[in-house]
Amino acid sequence: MERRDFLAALGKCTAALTVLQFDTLLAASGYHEDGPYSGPLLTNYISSTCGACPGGCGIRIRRVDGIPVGIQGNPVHPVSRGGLCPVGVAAMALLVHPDRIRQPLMRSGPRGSGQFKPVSWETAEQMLADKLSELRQSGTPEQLLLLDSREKGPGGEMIQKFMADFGSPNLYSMSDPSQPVCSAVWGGTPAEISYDLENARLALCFGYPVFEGGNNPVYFAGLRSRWLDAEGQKGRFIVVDPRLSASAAKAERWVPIEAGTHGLLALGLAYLIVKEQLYDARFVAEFCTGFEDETDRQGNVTEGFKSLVLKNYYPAYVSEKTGVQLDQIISLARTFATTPGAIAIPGAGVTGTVDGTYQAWAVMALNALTGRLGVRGGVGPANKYPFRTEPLKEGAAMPLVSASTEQFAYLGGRGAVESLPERILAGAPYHINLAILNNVNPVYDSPQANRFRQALQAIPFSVAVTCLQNETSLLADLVLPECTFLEKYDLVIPDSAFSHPVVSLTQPVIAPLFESRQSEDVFLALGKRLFAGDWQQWENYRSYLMAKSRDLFQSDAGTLFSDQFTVSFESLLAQRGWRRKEYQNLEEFWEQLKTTGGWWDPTPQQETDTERVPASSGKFHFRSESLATRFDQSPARLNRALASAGLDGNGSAQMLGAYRHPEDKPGESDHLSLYLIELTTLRGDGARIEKIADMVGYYDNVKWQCWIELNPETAAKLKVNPGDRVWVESPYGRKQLPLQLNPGLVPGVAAIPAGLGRSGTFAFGENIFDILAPARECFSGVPAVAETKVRVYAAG
Amino acid sequence: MSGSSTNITVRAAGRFLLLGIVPLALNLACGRSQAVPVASSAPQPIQFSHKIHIVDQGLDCVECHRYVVKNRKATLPTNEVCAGCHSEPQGSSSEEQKLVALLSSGEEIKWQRVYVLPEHVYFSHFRHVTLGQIGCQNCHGEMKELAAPPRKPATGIINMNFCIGCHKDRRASTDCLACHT
Amino acid sequence: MARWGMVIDLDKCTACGSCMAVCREENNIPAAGPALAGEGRSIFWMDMLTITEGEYPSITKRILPRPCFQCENPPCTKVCPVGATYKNDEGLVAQIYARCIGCRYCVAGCPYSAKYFNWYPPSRRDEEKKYLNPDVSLRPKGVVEKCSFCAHRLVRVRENLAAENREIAEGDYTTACQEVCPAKAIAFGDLDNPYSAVSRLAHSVRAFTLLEDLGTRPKVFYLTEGEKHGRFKI
Repeated sequence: MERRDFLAALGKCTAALTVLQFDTLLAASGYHEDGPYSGPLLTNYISSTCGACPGGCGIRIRRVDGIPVGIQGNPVHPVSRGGLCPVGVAAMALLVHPDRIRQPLMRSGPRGSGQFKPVSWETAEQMLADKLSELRQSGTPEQLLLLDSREKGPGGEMIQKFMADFGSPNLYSMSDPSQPVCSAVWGGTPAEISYDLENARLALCFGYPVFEGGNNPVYFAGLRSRWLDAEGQKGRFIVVDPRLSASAAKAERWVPIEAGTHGLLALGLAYLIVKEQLYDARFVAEFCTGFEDETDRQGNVTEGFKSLVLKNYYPAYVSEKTGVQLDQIISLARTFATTPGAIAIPGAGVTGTVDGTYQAWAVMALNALTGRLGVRGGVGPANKYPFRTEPLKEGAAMPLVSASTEQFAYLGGRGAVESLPERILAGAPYHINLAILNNVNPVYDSPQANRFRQALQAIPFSVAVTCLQNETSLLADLVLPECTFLEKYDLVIPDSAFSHPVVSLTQPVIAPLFESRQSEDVFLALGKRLFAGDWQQWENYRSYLMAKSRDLFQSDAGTLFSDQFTVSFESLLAQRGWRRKEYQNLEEFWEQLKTTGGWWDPTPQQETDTERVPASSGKFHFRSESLATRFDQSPARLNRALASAGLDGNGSAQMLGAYRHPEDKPGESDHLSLYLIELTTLRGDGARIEKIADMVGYYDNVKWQCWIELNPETAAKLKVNPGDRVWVESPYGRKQLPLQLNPGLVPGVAAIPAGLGRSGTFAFGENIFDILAPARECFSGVPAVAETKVRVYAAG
Repeated sequence: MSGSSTNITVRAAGRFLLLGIVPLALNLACGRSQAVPVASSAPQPIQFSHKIHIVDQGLDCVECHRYVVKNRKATLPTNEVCAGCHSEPQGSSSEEQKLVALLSSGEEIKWQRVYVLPEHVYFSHFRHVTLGQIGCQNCHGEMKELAAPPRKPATGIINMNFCIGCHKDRRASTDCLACHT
Repeated sequence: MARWGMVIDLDKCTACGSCMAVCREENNIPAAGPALAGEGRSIFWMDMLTITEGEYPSITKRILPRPCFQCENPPCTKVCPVGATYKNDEGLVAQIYARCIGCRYCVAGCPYSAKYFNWYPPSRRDEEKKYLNPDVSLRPKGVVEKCSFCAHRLVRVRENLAAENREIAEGDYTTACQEVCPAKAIAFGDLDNPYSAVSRLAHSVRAFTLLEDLGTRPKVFYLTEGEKHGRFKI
């Protein structure tokens, strides 16, 4: 056949194929399908709050003919200011997510089999109410256990009231207690604090990937933008972290550090600040205790922080242990001490170690030394909200189920949640008969997932309230379909670092899909059935919220969200004692709350010289008085806690300067410390949204996989090659992952993203929580990730 | 200059085709077919007369096609619109009785769309009718003369040439991006 | 006549990926899924480029969001045999799906890999279709697509302006990525308007474009990471 003939024949084939496949192609194109938009395409926008994570960013939902078609940022929201993270942007997919629970489900197969049969809401509610009143009538209300995802805001308050009225002490929140526990150590009692970042000029972030992890990365991104646009001195971020994350890469400076040595570096910086007389002597003298040596009546000298630090933390030693170069330490100390408005912030990388409270305390000590407590651009007290809290019904006679073995709770830690499985399985001090798991998933994200799994199976009846079917709800006897945040009402207190009180409104943009029902409404209905009294006054959760918003309306402070110009104008008026009334009555206030998206108080926090330290004692303790008291009460118990952190007992650890980093430096054996990578895309249910799952690893060039990162040097030493699949093995399990080289990772560390390996339709990757060691922080009880030592070796 | 570069392109494309890359031809067919709008050929549920409404009763288009002057889509009348007049019979025609019965049953009337634009075309009635001051008959023909509901577009198929012709006459934009989004 | 351009401030950008996510929502781009993504066929009109340089511990990582650069001298339009991609009067490099024959010359021609071919029809469940953006058409299998600077928004803006009887002003026409950026790192507007933020920023000493030596003259400028890296070009 000649070339010409061949081509002609080929041409004919092509033509034939064209005719053949024409219809198929058309049908597949999606072009001629009649869209859902037969209406006039009327567009409107609804202000609400993103519920994809507790960060509480403001959103504006675009609706066309009443159908939500897009989520945008709410430009007047003071926390997010029009910004959103990828998960919030893509959260519309939750509405018709294939894993969404569409009606109440009753378990029909054995536990964990995932076999359910649909039941009506009436049946489900009746069953739950019966179980509850049974417990009450038998006089054992304490056998009810409720795990909740939040504690702040009117919603959390209602749950607390429900449990108090029911008479069970067993309400556990899954929120991170590290910060209040640390405050208890340096300030007396557990307390929340806030950072006045808007007026700060340098954030020294220890173990805190600010732009990806933490409470609200959207806030930090906006803050950075404002810092760069600021007149005069521009704000800067310095990230101290073992890994060159996107946050570290985008910060002005990245200080690489050995995993778990943040506290040591902080004390090294303290050494230089003290030695070079860069500390605020007046503040330290007036508002701190334990800084100087103290001599008691007998003439015994107790060393103060100053002496201990100067004795133990000379920079060369700190440099050797932390891996931070000496000149870096010196310049960091000088920069931090001499920059007005510099704040040191401890992140999860600091608090999530066995001695995390001590390390965070050391970081806070930097703020205290330089007098950055209670000043503009410094550390202040927690935001105050005008919500009136009615006293809860007197506590139940029974103690917490986990109390008898509680080694942590006395500082307000959450050790309780982690010790729950053992107590439930042991059935002591009493049995748990009924568990309600309200939007929590401990079977996935707890380091003792298996223990939780066993414990849940040991409870006679468990109810899971959830939007998407998850690891925990698969074990429940009754699964109740929760609404997404696009279908519910709420007043949210954003969990962000913003230093003004903000109350953000969530309102439905679409009627609840399928048979979903807002969990708060379910609790309210139960409350109305079970209890007399004030439960009857609320028709539904919306009217409960309206009643709560009366407190905001009546308070003489604050204003609705509005643009920057209006905010400055109103602040000006407020300074002169005037107030512009935008609303005359509660109905008007509620309506405007719905239009603008929320309420906040823009007036700056009061600076008073008498109460500068945001703690109950009013002082910053370099020698912890609360620990001293505990030591006096039961030295054995404190020593046990300290020993679990590898710290010297005998009470000397009450003193911050006496804190010592454990001698064995990670990376010297063939065991690597585990480091969990925090990614913005894995916030909340991010990994379960297909479009977000598609994005995970976008700047690491990985797709639809979990991965492990090693420093090239470490990889060479372990004789593993990039791209290979390797085993990551801890004493608790092993996972096979593809290897990526990351030259921006400290040698001796294995970094793996946390939040993958979820169950469900778009599941991929491995759940790294499975191989975590059960080690916990000695006071707060949060998992100590870096304590997990892993071996990495080639697979096959 | 530009001519020679076009020649090169054409020649390049020719060579490409000759090499027998199948998807190219497939997609050529697919691509062209996209411009053809598909109207429904099903009969209308009610044998409705535009003539009676417009000429005899003196109604304006906007009274039934409610959004034609202020929105992208003109919309077909909903039950509510019809019920504005026809909740009680106005005359004695059998078709009207059918309508009244339908309305009282509460079932939504399934009007068949006659004018359907492909999904990749942006068209706004508001832009044309209100801002452009273009009469409805320019595209829809003399609807007031129709005693029976239309089964097909009155002015023939509205295709891109039809649009472009008018856009050129009126010096409206002929940039592809003005309509194709 | 405006000349639309964009400036991305790499100092402000925190590489959060919101621009990538919002672009897919706004423009009805489906997720690729593991199989297609493995073949390198996921579509990101707005993508993220990463460049890592140096050795531990003195190492830098630069992360750049990458939309279509809407070049003044676009290589992709010159190779299109059917005029499906062209540069319009306002400098927008258009991609007309109904015209595209899927030859993928433009995909090969783009030095920035900003053009994407639809290898398969989008996988979308029926339920999801209700919540798509009605302003942007769905692309069938076999056509090329790319960032359009949200040109569908411009059509609507024009309509509103005609109703209000006024000229287009700064801030009327925005892209989805610019709107959502939590760091306000993206500026968008008319490069020919000397008072617009983009034209001011595009003339900054920090401004650079990618692969300048190719002569494509992108209308998307980056502002380099200031003093941090002590250099102004990649």
